[in-house]
Amino acid sequence: MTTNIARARWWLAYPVALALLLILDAALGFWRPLPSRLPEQFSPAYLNLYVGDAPRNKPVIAFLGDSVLWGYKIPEADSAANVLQRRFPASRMLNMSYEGGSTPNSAVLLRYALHAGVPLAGAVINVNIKEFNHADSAYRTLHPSLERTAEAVLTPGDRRVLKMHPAVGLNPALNRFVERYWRFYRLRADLCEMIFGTDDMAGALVRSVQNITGTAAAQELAHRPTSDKFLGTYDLAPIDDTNVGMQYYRILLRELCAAKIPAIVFLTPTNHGLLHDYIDVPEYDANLHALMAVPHCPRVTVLNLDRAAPSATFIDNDHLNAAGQRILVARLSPYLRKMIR
Amino acid sequence: MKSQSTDPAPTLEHSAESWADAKTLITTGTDDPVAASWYLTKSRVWPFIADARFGPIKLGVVLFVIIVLSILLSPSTESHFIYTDF
Repeated sequence: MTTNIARARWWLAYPVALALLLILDAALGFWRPLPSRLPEQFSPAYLNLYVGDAPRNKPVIAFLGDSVLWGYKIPEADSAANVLQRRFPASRMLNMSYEGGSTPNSAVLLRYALHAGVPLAGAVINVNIKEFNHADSAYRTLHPSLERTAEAVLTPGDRRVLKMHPAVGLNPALNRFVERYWRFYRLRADLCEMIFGTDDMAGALVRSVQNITGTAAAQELAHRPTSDKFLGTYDLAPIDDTNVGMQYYRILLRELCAAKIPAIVFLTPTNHGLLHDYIDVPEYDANLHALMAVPHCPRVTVLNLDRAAPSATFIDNDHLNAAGQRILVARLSPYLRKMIR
Repeated sequence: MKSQSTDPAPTLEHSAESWADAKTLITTGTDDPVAASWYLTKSRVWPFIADARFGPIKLGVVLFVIIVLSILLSPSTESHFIYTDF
């Protein structure tokens, strides 16, 4: 054994490991996940892949917005974008909405998609009045992955108005450095999402334990939406041009018109049955009117769907269940048909 | 002629909490966990890689698996942006 050990070229283990890592990286280069919507967690690299893989041979309709359009708590197949994809198979409904969307997110994502050369034939955008509230987490914050992916298209104005998250410190700097050269490391969060159904194994384990012990069901029960939980969700102060949401709403409409992209922009259905005490007041309607009154070109259609869905079609204050998503599909379909024609 | 001992046969007594089972004791010949681990490393793990021709390749594969798993199994450092309304 000693002779064998002495003869062995142990240093060869390093190039072997390196070669395998290179093979893995090359294989990941062929990875085209092409989901019908973005996963719950996605890295900048994944967003780049998702947008970059938009087909060039058929009209692409971009869906921009928040969790309502993404299809929060409903199966992928039931989300409006997916149902519309089945209804209009000649076009590609590129669902770029995600949890944490807002008008700044939609405006920057649209700019990024155009910059990436996605041949947009149209856009469907939801505008959620609750995100015009200063207290909303997406009010002036870009999704961290969008912020990094769209760095090249962010203007000095964006950097001034929006809350940015620059990489400060050794750890983020090292992460970015390694991610630049190593695809596997760059896509680690997405691979974990694919393998574990969440962003890491610890999360998956916690979820399993919660399911086994019944904690998950108890938490779900405790989180049952009641009107008092949305006391501060909707800001009834007048939405004017000092509001960042409004500023980016204007930018969004302006950029759609400048790029000559036909678009359907709709005010998100809201559960008035649940929120009656808070939002069935003149101030709320005045804010809806303010959004509807923002000037735009004829290519853009703005729909007020705030009261379009009955209470029974909501999961909570604004997230629609499958029946609610079908209402959305019914309201959007005639406009989409015209847009695609 | 060998004299017959009157002493009882030696037994490997170990408590219920002991790590070892009878099979491991027979295999390793000890109930000392450190000595048993060293014995198993030398007799099972080491020969797997201590081969002049394929040892380094096997070690390279092991290294690769350790690197990949350490990345996939480590806790996420990504920013969680998902917000809840309540």
